[in-house]
Amino acid sequence: MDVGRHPNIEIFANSEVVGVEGEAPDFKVKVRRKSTFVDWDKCTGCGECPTVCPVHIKDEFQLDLSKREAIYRRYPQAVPNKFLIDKRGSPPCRYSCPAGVNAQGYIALISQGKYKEALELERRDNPFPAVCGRVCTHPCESDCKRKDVDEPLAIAQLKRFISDSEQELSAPSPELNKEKVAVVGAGPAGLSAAYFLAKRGYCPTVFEATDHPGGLLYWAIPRFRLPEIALQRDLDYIKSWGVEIKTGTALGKDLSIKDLQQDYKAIFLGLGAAKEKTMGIEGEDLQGVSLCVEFLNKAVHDPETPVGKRVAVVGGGNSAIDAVRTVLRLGAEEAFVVYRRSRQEMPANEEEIVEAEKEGIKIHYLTNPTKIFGEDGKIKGMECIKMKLGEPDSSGRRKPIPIEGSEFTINLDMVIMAIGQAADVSFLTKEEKFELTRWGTFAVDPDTLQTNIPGIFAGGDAVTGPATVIEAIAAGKEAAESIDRFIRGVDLKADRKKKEDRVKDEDIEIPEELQTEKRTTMPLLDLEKAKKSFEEVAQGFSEEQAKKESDRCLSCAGCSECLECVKVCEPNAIVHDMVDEFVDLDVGSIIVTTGVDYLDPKEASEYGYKRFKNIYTSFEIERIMSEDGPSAGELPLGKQLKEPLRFAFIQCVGSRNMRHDINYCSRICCMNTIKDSLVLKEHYPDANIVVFYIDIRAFGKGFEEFYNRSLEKGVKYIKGKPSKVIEDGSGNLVIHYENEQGHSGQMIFDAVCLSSALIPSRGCRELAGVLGVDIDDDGFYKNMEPATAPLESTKKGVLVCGCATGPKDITDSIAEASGAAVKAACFLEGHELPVEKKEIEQVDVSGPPRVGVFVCHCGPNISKVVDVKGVVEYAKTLPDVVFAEDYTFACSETAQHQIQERIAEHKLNRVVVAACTPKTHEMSFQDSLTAVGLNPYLFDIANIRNQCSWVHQKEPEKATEKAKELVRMSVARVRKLGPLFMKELSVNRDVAVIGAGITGLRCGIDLLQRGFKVKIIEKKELSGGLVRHLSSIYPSFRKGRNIVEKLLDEFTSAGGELLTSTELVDVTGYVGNFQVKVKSAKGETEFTVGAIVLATGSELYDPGERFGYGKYPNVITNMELEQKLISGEIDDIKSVAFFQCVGSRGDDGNPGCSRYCCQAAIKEAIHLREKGIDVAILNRGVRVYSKGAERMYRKARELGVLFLPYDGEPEITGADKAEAVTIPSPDIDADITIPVNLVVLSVGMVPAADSGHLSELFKVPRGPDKFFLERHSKFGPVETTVEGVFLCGCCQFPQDIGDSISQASAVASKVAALLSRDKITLAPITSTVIEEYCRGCGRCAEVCEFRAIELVEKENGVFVAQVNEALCKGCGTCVAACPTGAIDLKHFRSEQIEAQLEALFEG
Amino acid sequence: MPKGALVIGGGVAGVQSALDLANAGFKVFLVERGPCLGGRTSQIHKIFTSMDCTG
Repeated sequence: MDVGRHPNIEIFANSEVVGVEGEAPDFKVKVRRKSTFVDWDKCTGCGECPTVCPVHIKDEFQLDLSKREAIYRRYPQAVPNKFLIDKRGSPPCRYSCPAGVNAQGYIALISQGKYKEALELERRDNPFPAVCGRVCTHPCESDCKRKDVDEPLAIAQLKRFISDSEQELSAPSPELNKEKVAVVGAGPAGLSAAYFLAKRGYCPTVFEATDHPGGLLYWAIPRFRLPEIALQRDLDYIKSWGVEIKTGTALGKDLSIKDLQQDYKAIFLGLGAAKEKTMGIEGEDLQGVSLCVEFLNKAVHDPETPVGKRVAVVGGGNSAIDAVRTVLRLGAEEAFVVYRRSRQEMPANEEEIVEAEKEGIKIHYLTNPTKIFGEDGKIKGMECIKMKLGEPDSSGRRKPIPIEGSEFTINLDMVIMAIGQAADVSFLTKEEKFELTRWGTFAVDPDTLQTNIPGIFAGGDAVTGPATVIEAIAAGKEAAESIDRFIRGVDLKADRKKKEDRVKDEDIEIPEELQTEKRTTMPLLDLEKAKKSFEEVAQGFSEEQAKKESDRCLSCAGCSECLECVKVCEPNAIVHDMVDEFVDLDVGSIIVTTGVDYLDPKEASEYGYKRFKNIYTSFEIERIMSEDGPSAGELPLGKQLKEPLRFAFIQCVGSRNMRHDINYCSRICCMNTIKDSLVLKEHYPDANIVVFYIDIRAFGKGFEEFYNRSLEKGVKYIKGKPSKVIEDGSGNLVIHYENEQGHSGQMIFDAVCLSSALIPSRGCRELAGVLGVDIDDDGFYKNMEPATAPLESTKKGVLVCGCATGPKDITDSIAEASGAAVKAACFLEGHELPVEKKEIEQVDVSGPPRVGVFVCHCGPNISKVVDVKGVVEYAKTLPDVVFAEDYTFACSETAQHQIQERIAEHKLNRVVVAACTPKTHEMSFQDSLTAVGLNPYLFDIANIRNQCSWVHQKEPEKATEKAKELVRMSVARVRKLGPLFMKELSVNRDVAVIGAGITGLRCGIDLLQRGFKVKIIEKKELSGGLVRHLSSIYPSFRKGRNIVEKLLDEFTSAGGELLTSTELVDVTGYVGNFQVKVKSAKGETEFTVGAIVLATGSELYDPGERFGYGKYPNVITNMELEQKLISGEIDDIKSVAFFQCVGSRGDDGNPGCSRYCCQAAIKEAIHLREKGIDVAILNRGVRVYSKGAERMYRKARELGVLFLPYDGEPEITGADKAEAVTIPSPDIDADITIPVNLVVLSVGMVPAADSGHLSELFKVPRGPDKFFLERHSKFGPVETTVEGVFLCGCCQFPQDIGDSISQASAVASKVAALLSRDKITLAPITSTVIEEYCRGCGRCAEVCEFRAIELVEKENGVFVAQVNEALCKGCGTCVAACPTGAIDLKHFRSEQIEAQLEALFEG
Repeated sequence: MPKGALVIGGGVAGVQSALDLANAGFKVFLVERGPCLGGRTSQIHKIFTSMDCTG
């Protein structure tokens, strides 16, 4: 595809049109370029990034049948050949984490065994992995999507695993050279702030009142839950960033805010919430009543701390559980928890509660102390009351309400109050005027955490009241961002990175084949041992367990932002924080080609798609049968076949089906199935293939023959629609169906393909809204009129084509696309881009060769296998090589510039690039040569990637050897190359159109509108061809004559010249310069044109004497019926029978389908039926496919038109005229006789009688069906093999009006492109004849498919071959055919190839 | 940027429209929703009736 290289085309991939304003030709368009997260200016498409991506998600290119990485390109040859990253939002785990820790990322890395990288990633957002892996409340797990499948991932435990696996502390020890910042409080908030500041280069000092950093982590969390060694690891890591911690330094005592303000640029206060709450009930002052943190402070550090025998802990948080478990370990006989709400509301971690319960601790729910009583100042017991739950309170939890009269007492000798802490920072207000909240916490800006005093920030429990570790870490991180901004003098709020949106639930992939697998359980310390010791209870995952657990991750967000791709991307192209961009465009016209989607066959649930194995859609079969598909071109049956493959196709799944509200034929499925059946036959020659169908609609050029080929190969066709597909329990698929005769049956298959309907593409309605155009009844873009204006939307300047207006095949889409282009161009008059031509001084190449060799690494693509440096050194030893060097990417812009510099610097006059295939980059290297004045043909590529590093991956030494040989050969060849120069021919800008039917007229009008002079040559007296004689056209029912007159009027008023009753006499010349000689009553004239359009149409089949034609006056052709419909001579008719396929799809007339006749017959039948006439259409399958035709077909049936299938020839009986028609009816196993008083033969289209003559005249070949042959059936449907001669309409093959009109415009587009330049350049690689060797045998002329060679007579009567360079394509066929070696091909001369070969064998 | 034609959709039809316009000397903005051009055709294994590959 050269679209990616075209200088006039700017591609906006991964983009959407979001706004259109104005009218043609002045549209203002807004395009959103969605972020790709890869800088495409830098991406070289080397393919290294996906090799390290740990995420594997559904590959939509392979229709979700296989997986791809989160960084990907759709397929290897994609244009643009760039990678992009699939990001779907913030994964639920990350989104729910207050600190935004990238859990999906580190889990993905764990699954790859990259523990170090995982820890590194964790520490980007959280310096406390060892701590959080043990004590975090892990909101991430609560929102983990895996819980919808089975259970959430053990995310915190995986975090702990990566922390535990750290062998040696990675100590960055950076140089901190920015400003000093004071942090007060060495709890998680303060230390996090210090850590994130140090990471930004600031010098943080942390002042801690106690003698140890860590805050409550150190002082209040028991060691059996958080061993000191684990905490120490995180503290050491933070310190390794250069964070200075000064313990024993209390604010308000040892230092003041003023002191800090003097010495530090900013201050962060992470003071925690040290004040413990009490309940305020009677007896809290008794001996034996302790406060939780106070108790833990002692107990955590002193295993001899005395406790009671029977101990109650009041509260439901983690501290309460910590306290009660500690009490148990310190020797209490009985320890329990009293909690006022139920288990569901309990804030403590679930696993902590479970572990406590295992240890024998009871939890009394819905119980609240009312007083504590004692004796002699010592506790004896506690009175409690039972509670019930009321309405939710401000915390969202249901409020506990005491049940009156339910009081009871418990005997105790110790109570620990664990009902929470509060911050108390009031002591600071003595010194500074801090604004506080009514809870005594700092009042801070919620976004920036700045207090009312500029430069002083606060976070953690001192702001929020008691909260979790991870919330404190989040606050520290946020404060660091604010402090950085404060110091830099940047607005604290502006453009602050917002929290990314959570990935939408519907975007989270839960693979259909996913097996449920419970969360990995954490191994615990032996229970008896645990109860007695302070050893850590949770033992941590083994590597195997961690790996298994990480594999359960669903990769909710696509990309996990693990940043591994960043590390391997040599050109530094990856930009993880890229944002969408908006571009405004000035546009004259708009073409909409948004294509189609497929109906999900799950909607036709009776066919078992996705319920049973081996049921595919036809589109899936495309991928499956592809060698680069998900199963490398084989059906993934998952079972051993004992007998030949049994395969069924079910047609019309959704199409032509009112149940799915699809009132049209999807147009391509029949042909697609026939193709797939042939592909399957190639793979499984013995396969039994059955196609269940309603009608086989093989209506295009060569389609009927293709259908016949499948019949010859043994594909069976059963007319009838299956009712259901079921699985028989042993993996066989049973199709229940009813055939044409009404007999029901069952057939067993190994696999089934569903031909699902083509439906309007997703988003088509929204885009139509943006564009302001209408949608039709089927949901496709509406065109002005399907037959005569198929490409115009309902808005001026907006064109619609291809499948955007309804399903169609590639041929028709391509023709429409070109047609739309010429119409779009009409709105751009005066905006042609200037052709830039720079005069560059040419390098003198007459001297001895000076070769430069440039060897490419292609990233790792070549260099991973081939010793690139070795190749460079070798190249330097080759004859005439004066310079050699290597590049990471020789194709990159930078390298190309360097090559240009080297050419000048070393006076190079020959260049060899050793890189990839010339198909990819030859032209860009040649452009580089041209840019510095070196002839682009003094250049050669040695393909050392595809031919060396790719194919010999496992033999690097041999690959290197071969690379050297290829370079040696290229050098040998390039030494023999000479400069070649483009030839330019001047162009005549006039056009001749042959044929004045609607196709020729349409083409002429489009060309006139584009500013070309057009002559239409018509041999007949009247223009308008067959359409002029139609009573009406479908589906609009407009009169044929009116359509012709309108076109004729447009053509003449636009200045077109119509030469009727004019014969073509002769045509000579070549593209840009054809001489056309015509003859009319006025005599012969000759004129020159640049291009010729054949729009000569077809003729109708003459039935001769078949079907009683000519014998019975009431047997007429459909064209004769049209005349009757115009003149109205049908009043006495009561019953009409149409015979379809007369002269089509058989050995007489057109071997293919004539395409127009079914739809024409239905249109005629509706006319007749509406006059009360009985109509039967005798058909061989009803082929209605064009826009609106299926609805027309339905209408005909509703009106009572009979459609009777027939095979063979219907019999007509009658004396003087046809009175009855008899056909064998397969339905009832008997003959049907219909009384008729009119028989209409729907005659096929056949090539015009003079098409053979025209073929000779224009040297345009004809196909086996004798219609003119297009250059390529799909990709060149309106071009011929003769440059400058084009085709459209029925001279190529039968078309209906809409298709002919589209083709006419398509030709206009091609002609306009050809003639828009003043000169045509001819590629210089052509054949040349060495006349003295030529003996005039003419073999070269025979083999030349471009008819570029002819024999000319020399003076002495000798004939020699002569090459017309304007026609020669440089294919070289003639060189091979010449027996005397008299023909040589420039640039591939014998001596050049020989030099190459000699170099090969020299080695 | 110069004034040009906008083509929405980078499947075979869109690419063909863009090439025709560009070859006729006009600026074309080709907008494709997906990451690359080629549309459905790029996923098709072989095309009827020529049985050519689409790559």
